[in-house]
Amino acid sequence: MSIQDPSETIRTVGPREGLGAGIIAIGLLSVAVPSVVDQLPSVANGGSAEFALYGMSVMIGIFVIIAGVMTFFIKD
Amino acid sequence: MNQNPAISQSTRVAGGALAAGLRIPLTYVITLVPVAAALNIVGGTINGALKLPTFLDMIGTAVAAIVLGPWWGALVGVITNLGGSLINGPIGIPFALCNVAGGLVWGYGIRSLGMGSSLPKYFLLNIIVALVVSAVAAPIVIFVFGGATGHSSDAITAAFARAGQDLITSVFASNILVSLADKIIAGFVALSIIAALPANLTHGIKIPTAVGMRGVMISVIGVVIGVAIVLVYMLITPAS
Repeated sequence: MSIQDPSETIRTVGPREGLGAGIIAIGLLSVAVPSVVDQLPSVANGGSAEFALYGMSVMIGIFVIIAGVMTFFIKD
Repeated sequence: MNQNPAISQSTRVAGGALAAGLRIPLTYVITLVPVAAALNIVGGTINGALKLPTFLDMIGTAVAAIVLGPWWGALVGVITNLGGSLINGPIGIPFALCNVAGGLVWGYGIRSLGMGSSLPKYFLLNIIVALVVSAVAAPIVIFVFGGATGHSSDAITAAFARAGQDLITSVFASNILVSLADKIIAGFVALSIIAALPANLTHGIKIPTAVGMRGVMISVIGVVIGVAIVLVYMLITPAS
């Protein structure tokens, strides 16, 4: 009868899973922003909701592009 | 000899060789990510209650980005601002991008660029984080909120505007000033938290250890002098 090494059963995560988690997080953000954007200008007397949504979508898109590019370079 | 690479990796992790790039036990991630997000939310809430001219909502992001990796830091940042919106309202949601940017710069700075190998490099990294976060935050403040968010730093923005600067310059200047102080504080508080974590979680990550107060004080005084010079220059120089 062999004794199993407990270290063999440890589940681990690496950079690839981390990158996936980051991309999912940014996706969640892009989902959340449109649902609240109509409340943002009224909170701070800023610009129009449409412009706020446009600006936020562009910035989130930049981060998603960075995440996508990083998948080509990341190594386990 | 062990031929299974997965087992080999796990054994290395269990043996304490948690160097940057190696795999991390999932339990560490599941534990540290929510705790880091909670730390951010608590820090931000205390900061808001005391109306301090800082943010204090990126300490957990720095911890997660340095210990786990940049994209885990980004995840913590998004959780922080989405979770915090349940307490403080939706005003913080757009600023999740700032938290994401800070996590990425801290994480890649330490784990890929080796900017934690010495205290001056780590200090420089915190300044870079402040500049990057300001570059992300200022457009949000200007274009989404029209220049003011109700934060204490709005008073600095107003001071710059009264001195004759235009809105964009005023917001950028006040944001950089506040962000410099905030990120240096966050970076060094994160350093002390990381030092208190179990050794096998931080083994292999190059960060300054046993930071002497003298070095920190000299660095902080230098930044304060620099900021004061910029502040005086901008206040006495009206916009053309």
